[in-house]
Formats: sequence, structure tokens, C-alpha cells
Amino acid sequence: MANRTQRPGRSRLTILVMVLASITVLTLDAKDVPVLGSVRSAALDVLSPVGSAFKSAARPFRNAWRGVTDYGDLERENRELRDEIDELRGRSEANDGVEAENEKLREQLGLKQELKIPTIVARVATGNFTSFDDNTAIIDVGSEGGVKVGNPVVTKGGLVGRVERVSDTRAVVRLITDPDLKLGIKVKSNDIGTGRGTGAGKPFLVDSGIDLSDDVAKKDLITTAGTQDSLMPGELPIGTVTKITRNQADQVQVLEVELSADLSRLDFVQVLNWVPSS
Amino acid sequence: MIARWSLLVITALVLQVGMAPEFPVFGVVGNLLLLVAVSGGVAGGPDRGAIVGFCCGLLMDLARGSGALGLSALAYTLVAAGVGATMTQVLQMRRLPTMGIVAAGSAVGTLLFAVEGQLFGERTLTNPRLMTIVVVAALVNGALSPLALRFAAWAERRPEEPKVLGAVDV
Repeated sequence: MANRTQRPGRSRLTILVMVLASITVLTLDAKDVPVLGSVRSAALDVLSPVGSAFKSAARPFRNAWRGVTDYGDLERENRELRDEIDELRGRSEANDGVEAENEKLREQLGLKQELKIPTIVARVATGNFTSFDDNTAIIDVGSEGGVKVGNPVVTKGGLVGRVERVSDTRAVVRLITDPDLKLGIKVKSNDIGTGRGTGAGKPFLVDSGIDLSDDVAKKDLITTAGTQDSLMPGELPIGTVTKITRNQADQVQVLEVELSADLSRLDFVQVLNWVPSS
Repeated sequence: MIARWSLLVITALVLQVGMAPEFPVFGVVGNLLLLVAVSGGVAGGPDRGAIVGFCCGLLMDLARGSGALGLSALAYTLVAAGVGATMTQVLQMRRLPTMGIVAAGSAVGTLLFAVEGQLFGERTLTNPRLMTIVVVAALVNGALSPLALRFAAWAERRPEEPKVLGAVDV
């Protein structure tokens, strides 16, 4: 195994050089040295297609593997989805009438259609390469496809995240489950607060800005605030309120929000061609 | 030897970005580059471990696409060199259960990465699944170590050594 005849002095020097090289890379990256950015982009362009190719080829095996390793989770998820379908059927019937009424009112009031932001359709290229990166996703469109850093990413369900890094053919999306991605949010009563993720598979948390007197109820829709200097345009659905806690010390209501977009099953997404003003 | 190590590290990288995310164990993605780094320390001693660990870590950082570049490089360098040093010191006394060494090295490497990540503003140490990630990484890498050590021994083989492949004590 390990070569016992190695000179300790030489080993120490090699280790020292490698440690210093690592620290140098860390320092240069922290200072945003452009060449490292280019290297990272090139690596993303080269490695991500490898992941995509395996993803397609391994799909049948992956399904079997997940059936074995995640059987309990799948069973629970199946039960939850059945309940959800029942609930949605009920809601859909109720909504049919409301939608028709809403359409008539719009026509009568002459309301303009909401401003549409141009979108770019993309697909999640690969799964995360490590378990520490469950708050990011890599999509298969990059700067060549018009994606820019700061673009919001959505699905039909709602907001997914924000483009953090772009290479020629790929982009890294920071998901809204990330606790470091703080967003301005708006509740039904138009009160504005700030919220953040609490990790993959966990609720979005609105923990400031919603006063005790503000009108919020369970199942209320939370959207992006879209205020000036906001990271996101307004009116993008984030999720629905599932729990309200009154924090008397800070005089705010803390809202737990179930995300509208299912981030555990991301496949196709839309990148909004919009960047923050600042 | 450099060509063989390069081939081994690149193969591990391709498997890491292609295979590992598709076959998570209890939701945890295996860390094949860390496995190769630790195996480098076991098979080649501390200086080989440091070099292989640095390369594997840097490639992992590049593959991640986000986070600080060099975090994995530093963690894998230290852990692979540490494993190599441990093997060199202790081998003179007794034969070691290398599967256990690789598993322990993988656990330490994952924890070290988490500590560094936290220092650099990532929420790695406070990740609620940290213990699961560490335990699964250790178990998976321990289980894969017989295979990885055979390849590491092959990569480490010098021209005058006629046969090393298969001579690993696992």
C-alpha cells in the first residue's frame, strides 16, 4: 500500500504546495478573478452535457433504483398526490364559475392583460453532483440562448429561483429554497414583507414585514413584491400560506408558505428575460 | 503513472457527474472523487494523496458550478494526505482494515468540506442532512473501496513492479 520508503521532508513539501495551491485558488475565486470565471464556465459547458447524457441513458435504471431505495417515500408521496387530486378536482369545479365571472368583469372594466415578460424555455440538465448543492439546479440554456445572471426562473406552478451563473450553454439556478436568497413578497392584502427558503423540501418562510395587524389567512397566495430594486418582477406566485405564527416580540406574523412550484421534480422551466434594475 | 492516475481521476469525474446523481442512496449523492482521493492516499502515501486529492477536489469544485472554488480541493488534499500519513505510520505495526480507513477518511473529508464551506458563507455545516450525508458517504465509499483501491494500486504501480493489481489488502 502506501510506500513506506518515502522521505518525510519531501512528503511535507508536496502537501504544503498542494495546500497552498488550494488556498490560492480559494483566494483568487473570492476576488472574482476573471480567468477563474472563464474556467468555471468552460467546465460547466463540458461537464454538464456528460451529466445530461447519463441522465437520459440511466432513466430506466434510476427509476428502478429509486423504487428500491425510496419505496417508503414513494408510497407516502403517492398517498399525498391522491389526496391532492381530490382536492384539486373540487377546487377546479368551483373555479370554473369564478373564472367565467372574472373574464366578464375584465371585459367590462376594460382591464389590460398583465404585462408579459419574454421567456426562454429550458430543461434541468442534470441532478446535483453533490449532496451539498440541493439548493441549485443546472439548466441546459446559457448565454448563447439569451440567459443572463439575475433572470428569474419559473414553472407553470410558480417561482423556482434566480440565475446565478451563466456559461455559453448552461446556467446555474439558485433555487428559492436557499436560505441566502431573500425575496420581497406580497400577501393578498398588498402588504409587503421579506421571505427566504429554509432548505430543500421545507417551507418558504416569511419572517419580516408582515405586521400583526396585517390581514393574512391560511391558503392565501404569496407573490413576489416587485418593488423598486427587487430581485424579481412582481406578481410571480411563490406559494400558499400553510401556517401563521404571531411573533409578539418582533410584532410580526411569521408565515410558512408551501411553494407552488414542485422543486423536487423540476424538468422544464421558463427563464424570464428580466433583470433587476440595479 | 501520471497517465494512469489521470485516467482514473477523469473516469471518476465522469461517473461523478453522470452516474452518481442518478443513483442517490437515501437521497445522498455518492462522492466518487473523494473515494479516489482517499484511495490515492492509501495506495501512494501522503504526497501522492495530496496531489490526487487536490486534483479530485478541484475537479469537484469545477463540476459543482456554484460555491467557492477550491473548497473541495483543500479538504480532499488534507484528508488524502492525512490518510496516506496514517497508512505509512501504522502499516509498520499491523495490517489495517482498509475499508474502515477509506470510510473514515471519507467521513472526515465530507465534514472538513462542510466546515470550510461554512467559513466561506455556504450553509454546509448547518445543513440539516449533514449527518446523513457524512454517514452515507462513509458507507458508500467504504463499500466501494475494494474496487477503488485496486484501481489506485494499478495507477500507483511502478514499471519495475510486475503486478500490483489485486495485491491490495482489503
